[in-house]
Amino acid sequence: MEILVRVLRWTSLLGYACASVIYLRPLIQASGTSRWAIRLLVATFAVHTAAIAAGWVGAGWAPIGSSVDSVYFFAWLVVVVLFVVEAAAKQRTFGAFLLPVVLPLIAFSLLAGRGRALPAAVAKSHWFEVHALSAFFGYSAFAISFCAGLMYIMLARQIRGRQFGRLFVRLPSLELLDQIGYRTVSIGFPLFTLSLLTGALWANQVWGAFWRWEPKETWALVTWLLYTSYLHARFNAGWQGRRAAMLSIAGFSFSIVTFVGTSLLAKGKHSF
Amino acid sequence: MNAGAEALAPEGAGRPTGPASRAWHWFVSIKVGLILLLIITILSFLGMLVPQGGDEAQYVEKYGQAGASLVLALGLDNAYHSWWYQVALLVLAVNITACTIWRMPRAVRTAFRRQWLEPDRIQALALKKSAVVAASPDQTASRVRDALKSGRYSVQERQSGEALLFSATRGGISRLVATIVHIGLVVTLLGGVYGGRSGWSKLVFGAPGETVASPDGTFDVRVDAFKVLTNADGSIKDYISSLTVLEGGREVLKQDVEVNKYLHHRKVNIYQSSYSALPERFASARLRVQWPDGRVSEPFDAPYGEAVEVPGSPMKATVESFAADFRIDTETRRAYSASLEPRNPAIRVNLVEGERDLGGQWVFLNRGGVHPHEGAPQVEFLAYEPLYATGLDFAHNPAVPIVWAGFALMAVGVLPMMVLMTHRRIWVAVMPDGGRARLVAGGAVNKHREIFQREFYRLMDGVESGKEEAGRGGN
Repeated sequence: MEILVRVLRWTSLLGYACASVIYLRPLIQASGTSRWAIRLLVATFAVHTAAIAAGWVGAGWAPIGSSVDSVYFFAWLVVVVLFVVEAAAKQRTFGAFLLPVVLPLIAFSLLAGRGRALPAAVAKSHWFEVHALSAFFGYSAFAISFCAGLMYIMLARQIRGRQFGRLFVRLPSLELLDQIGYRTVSIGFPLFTLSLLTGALWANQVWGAFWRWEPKETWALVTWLLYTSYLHARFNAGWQGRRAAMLSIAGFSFSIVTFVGTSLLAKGKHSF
Repeated sequence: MNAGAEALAPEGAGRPTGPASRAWHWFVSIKVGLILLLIITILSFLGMLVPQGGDEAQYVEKYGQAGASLVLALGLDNAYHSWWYQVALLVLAVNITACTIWRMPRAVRTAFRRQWLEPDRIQALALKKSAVVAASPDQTASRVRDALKSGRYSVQERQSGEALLFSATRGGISRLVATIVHIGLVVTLLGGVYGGRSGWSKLVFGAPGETVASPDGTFDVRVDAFKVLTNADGSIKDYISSLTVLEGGREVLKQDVEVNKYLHHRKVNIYQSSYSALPERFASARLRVQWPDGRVSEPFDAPYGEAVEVPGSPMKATVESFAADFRIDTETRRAYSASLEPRNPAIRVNLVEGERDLGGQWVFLNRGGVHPHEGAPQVEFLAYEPLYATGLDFAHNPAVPIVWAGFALMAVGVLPMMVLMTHRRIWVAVMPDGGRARLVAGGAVNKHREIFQREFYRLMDGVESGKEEAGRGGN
């Protein structure tokens, strides 16, 4: 089963790499997003799903218990959210920005060895399940807002410089990008808040303390404060457009450090 | 800007007059809240740049003497418990509390008080529609009623001169989201401070058979057994401590404590937190004896302190002492373990043959003995099964219910955001216009304007039912 999982993971990496190239082509050359890009992405996603299912059956435990498995699962969720956003916005350009984020995540899950795992007894809690899943969904929503922010900045620069190139033709309008960025933060923020709350309840159940100021907890708090600032600035100070896009990009950068960086580099209860 | 915000001016938001009033308005402003959030973000970040909880030598090695002095003087070594971090959190908590108190009455009014707008004020809204409907005023009013109810609005109507006014509202509770989240946050912070000041926690180790006292002295706990369960691949599955709670020597409670399952007794929680191999005792050692003539016994197991027969001989071996990290005190000549780590495990074994004591000898794990007696059988120390002491965290936190309440409020407050819940309001005036009806409608929403805009036009276009359109406002 372990060999099968590895083969499926490598296949998904290859598939996403090819899909990234095909998705990026319309932004570089004069061509539309080929149907083959979508077909390839769907096929690769099926392989990705099979790899997770096989890992689940093999380990007998949801694929979020180790650093490597959780990153691979997160990449899967990002692709799920990509499908939802592309369908809702009737746009095929998000993949060009999001798949290059998915690729290093999958490469990491293949090259980082087995990764550190939580003792099974520690993870045996419903609080943990809610904590981990809501964090993954929250991060996935933030990934979309990051992409929308990035697209906004690039497109706004072209418009400001009156260089109406392929990005101008292919990307959604600035208003739509701003809305997508805001709505995904509106969905991601409550999920991320829920993750912090249930994580604290879980920690209190396991270790007798809600908060220990561990590196991961502190980074998560900083990430939460950033998105809190984003929403306050947007609701009350009218921050939209470029400034909101910059905050989205900063927020997701902190999310990645919170999720992947501190699990690998820092010592603490979350270092698994 | 919210749709229609210009027509719905804030109530009672007068300009501050005196210096105290100006200071108060400044303090409860969003600008100050944002600045405080930014300051706490930066301070939290500072704490991540410097390793926390180190000693001076570590900082000197990393930053040099001057850098280490600066780190220690500023309290960067314990940033999240430093006075400046606590002060920043306190100011934020006061700011949130003040903002909440300041804005709550208006939020409650906006959420629950129904507003009535006359046709001229409806026309002033950013999102509006007016049309002449090819139907009687009564038929048009009926269509308006049905349309708003189909959109799950709470609808009320009243007559104002010739005009029949409708006031429809939906999701007013979402106006309180920020208030609820802010209250939850303040309650959580208060709970954290109260728990930090009134609670306590202490890690206590106990070997099986030992009795340890609760740090508050209200009861004792006897460790009956401690097990470390492993998976087939050797990874840790669970740690289980079988405990008996004693009061005045009397057994009052028996319970297994494991990760995720703590024991609660007299407002004290006991958590399975850690474990450690005992440095001067073990469960059993695997030994072998070699005689001077070259004969070697079969390996055999010797539980700590028990005399066991050496296979194939009349001898008995007893392990009398163990040191996981063997050292000799040069003054007392006494052997001891220098640490908890099994860096240099050694045992003292005594051999007896019938009534004859062959003497004791210190033997190192897989490395032979210290000063073996010439001509006497030699013991080989092949392996041992450690005896573990369980690490129990005794904790008392009277603030747990407060923190739970704070969390519950925050969760209740943020979840409506996920479904993009908004406060939608629609005002409609239906007036007679010859044999037909004149419709004037307007709407306002606190966020997600474009979703509301689509719904507004869908509902009002339905009322108009594709008849002649007199004009469409908004954008």
